[in-house]
Amino acid sequence: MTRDRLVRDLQGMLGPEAVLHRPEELLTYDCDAFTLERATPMVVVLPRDTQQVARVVRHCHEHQIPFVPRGAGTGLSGGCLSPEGGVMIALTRMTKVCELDVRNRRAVVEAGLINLRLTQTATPHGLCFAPDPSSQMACTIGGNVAENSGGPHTLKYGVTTNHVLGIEMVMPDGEVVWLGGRTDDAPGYDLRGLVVGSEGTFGIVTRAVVKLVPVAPGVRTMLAVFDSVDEASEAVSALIAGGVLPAALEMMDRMMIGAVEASFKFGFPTDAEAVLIVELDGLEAGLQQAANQAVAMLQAQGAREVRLARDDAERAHLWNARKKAVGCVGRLAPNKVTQDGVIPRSKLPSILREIAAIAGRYDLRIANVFHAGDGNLHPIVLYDERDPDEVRRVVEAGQAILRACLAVGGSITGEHGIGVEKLDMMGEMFSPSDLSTMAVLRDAFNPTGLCNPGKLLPTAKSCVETNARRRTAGAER
Amino acid sequence: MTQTVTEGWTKLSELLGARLERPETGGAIAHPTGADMVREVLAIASRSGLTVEIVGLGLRQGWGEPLARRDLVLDMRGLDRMLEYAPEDMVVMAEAGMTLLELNALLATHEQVLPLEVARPEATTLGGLVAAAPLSMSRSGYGEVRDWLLGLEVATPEGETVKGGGKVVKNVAGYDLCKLYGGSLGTLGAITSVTFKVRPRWADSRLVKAAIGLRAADPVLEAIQTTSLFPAIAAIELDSERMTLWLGFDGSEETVSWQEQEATRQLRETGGQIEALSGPEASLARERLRDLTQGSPEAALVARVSGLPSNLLEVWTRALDVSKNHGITVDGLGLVHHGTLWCSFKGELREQEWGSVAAMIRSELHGLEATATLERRPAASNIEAVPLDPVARKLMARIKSGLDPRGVLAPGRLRLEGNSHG
Repeated sequence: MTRDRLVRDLQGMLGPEAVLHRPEELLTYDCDAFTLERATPMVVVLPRDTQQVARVVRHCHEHQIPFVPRGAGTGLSGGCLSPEGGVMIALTRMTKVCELDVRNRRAVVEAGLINLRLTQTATPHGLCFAPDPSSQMACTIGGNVAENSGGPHTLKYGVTTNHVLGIEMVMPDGEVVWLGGRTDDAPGYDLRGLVVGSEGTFGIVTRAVVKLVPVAPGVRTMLAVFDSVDEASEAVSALIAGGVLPAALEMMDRMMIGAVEASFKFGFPTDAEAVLIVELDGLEAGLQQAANQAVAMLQAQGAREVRLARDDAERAHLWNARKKAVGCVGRLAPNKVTQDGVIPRSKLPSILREIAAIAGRYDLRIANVFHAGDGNLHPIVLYDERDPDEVRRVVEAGQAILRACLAVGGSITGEHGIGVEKLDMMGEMFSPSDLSTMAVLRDAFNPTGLCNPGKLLPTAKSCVETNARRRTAGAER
Repeated sequence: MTQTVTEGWTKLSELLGARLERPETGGAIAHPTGADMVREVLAIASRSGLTVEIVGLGLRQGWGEPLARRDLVLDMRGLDRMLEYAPEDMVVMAEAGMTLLELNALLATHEQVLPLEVARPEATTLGGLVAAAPLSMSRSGYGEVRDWLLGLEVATPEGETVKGGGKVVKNVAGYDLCKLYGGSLGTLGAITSVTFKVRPRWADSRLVKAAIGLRAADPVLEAIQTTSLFPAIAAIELDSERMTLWLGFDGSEETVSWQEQEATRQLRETGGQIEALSGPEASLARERLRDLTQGSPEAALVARVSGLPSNLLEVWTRALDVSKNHGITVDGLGLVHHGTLWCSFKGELREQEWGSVAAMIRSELHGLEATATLERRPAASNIEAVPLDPVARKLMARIKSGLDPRGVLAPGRLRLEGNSHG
């Protein structure tokens, strides 16, 4: 089918204003927040409801055209990069909270709803949506479902999969199905659990039933300042092993502290080697006692200062700075790649030393801001995309970091997903049997392979395409 | 490479020696002692066309449909070692045949716990815990099996190893194979080891009990469903007259004490009878409730209904109607925040009449967005235990036929065979 014919067909289904096809319109859609690779879709559609999504998908299925779902494009692994000649289905016009059920603590929402908007809707009723990725002001619930997103507070409250009860999905042949529903338990295999985190390769999620959790009545947020990264990371292990269960436990190193302080003027100590943000929440009864215990532990681990947020405004300022921290490194370099390895928490001191060594070996600067309590690292590798040799070193250093995570029994991704970025690493984490089991799952949902091809599971073809895209990206720079 | 059934039995005998029981009356049982042996048994069974049922201590062996065929029972109890325990990471890996009680005894030496309060932990192997995914009585505070499972190792029907997840608390690499095998009732692979995250044991724990007449029960339930308290346990026992509400609080002495007082104060306003329990008395009551999640011991039919929490009492009213219609009795155990209700039916009925009870329950649930899974039923009641909708069945059948193409494992348990192209 020609591109012009496809555009006419799609315009006929959705209206001309919902179909983008001119080069300047498509520019926004050639990557997500992982910018090392780019691919321009043939056409982008902006459906308004599930039936419109189903019509587009049926058309793609009938004409064997690959397609890919996209939320806000905040993903960090290239999960919504367009396949060659593909149709991108952007869900950003599907933003309704269809139902808010306060008594049953659940909501039915469309996939394009922004994560923070859901919590803002629920908060007047004393409820919130627990997964709170740093991009929560922009990222969508559909994207959260695709990536099984986390965030700082998932240390206590769990990731997206712990908060999804049901999923409405357009299957790759255009059939609309519900997996799970408004109740907690669906009989048989855990299909909704399989779809969460499947990175849009099983179908297009159009609505979700999510659980809401009560907003904790009490909260204590503290900033612990350390003169050594080792002491800060030892303190993380000590807190967890000592029985303190924080709602969030985050860490920033010196390079990151400098960039964040320059942007937000929070009063971070720019001479410190590391800071920990520790948040405890729950009932007021017993909370101060737990906070005192945490402060004592942090001091025993060498914190030179532990500051308690004075009020909600200061707490909000601190979290705003933390959640926007990654953006602050724009002050340090024109480009960045955020890695996402996970390690057992007790390995934090050694892995942070290893990351510093990798930075030296590849002659790169790496800043760290991450979910220390989960052992979920986010080393941010700084670079200039106009320097092809630096781009090559960035890719190699990223892989070296992930290999170091695997060597201590960790994972290559804690919340950003595989996408195209880490396809090459899947064979290092998983055996051929593991991968063939995953291939059976993909084929069960997506037998034609038209839905978001070339993501998550490595194939000979996807590896060649990845390498070609990276070569092209390097050459263009 | 295929082999005849006779060759298969010979090879199993060579491999297992005295660890293969093969009585003349039928019912062969293999007792492997390690994951390698499990894989070899499955490889032989697969090549020779034998069907296999994986069994731990058998507590939930009756879940799902009766098997269409079973040549060999694979007894996983010989795999009972602790493989790795890192208290500082709060992560533990153990073989599938260890029981939940044994695991928690080991964790207790470090003041840690896997807080899944499923019925009879002494008879629940970790493999069975994952494969059957029974619901925990303390679900309000600690969630479900799937919330604690970090990783697993599985022997495939062909005897290969598949690993899902890992030993870190956050992990989104690849598809979530823990979700695939969790609750799959032994139809996709033999779980040989599991990795759980664990948590510190609480310093204090108390229970508050309130007895309330059924007519006054719904406002109390609504208050608990929208409460600002954080109970670990929010359960109800139901009979034809009354609801007994149980709230359990775990945590520091100060937190627990405040919640106990606040709950007592709130419940007193309802006019119900209130009782606070602590120490051994609370522990015993908690264990009794925990074991009731398996249904009442004397019940012939146990239906686990999953519906909206706000519909718990409506579901209960309909269960009472069904029991009256059949001249039998029913008692119930519900989880207040999850809409889970175990209805335990008791009485003297012929086997096909029990089928009618189950069918009527399902019919009564129409319009309430609820499903009823039969966790216990008379053998010949001939009604589907696990109700699957057609879309889910089709997808599950494709997964089953893709991962167990020769139909080695528990054929018929979910009635998926022959449905993959539907």
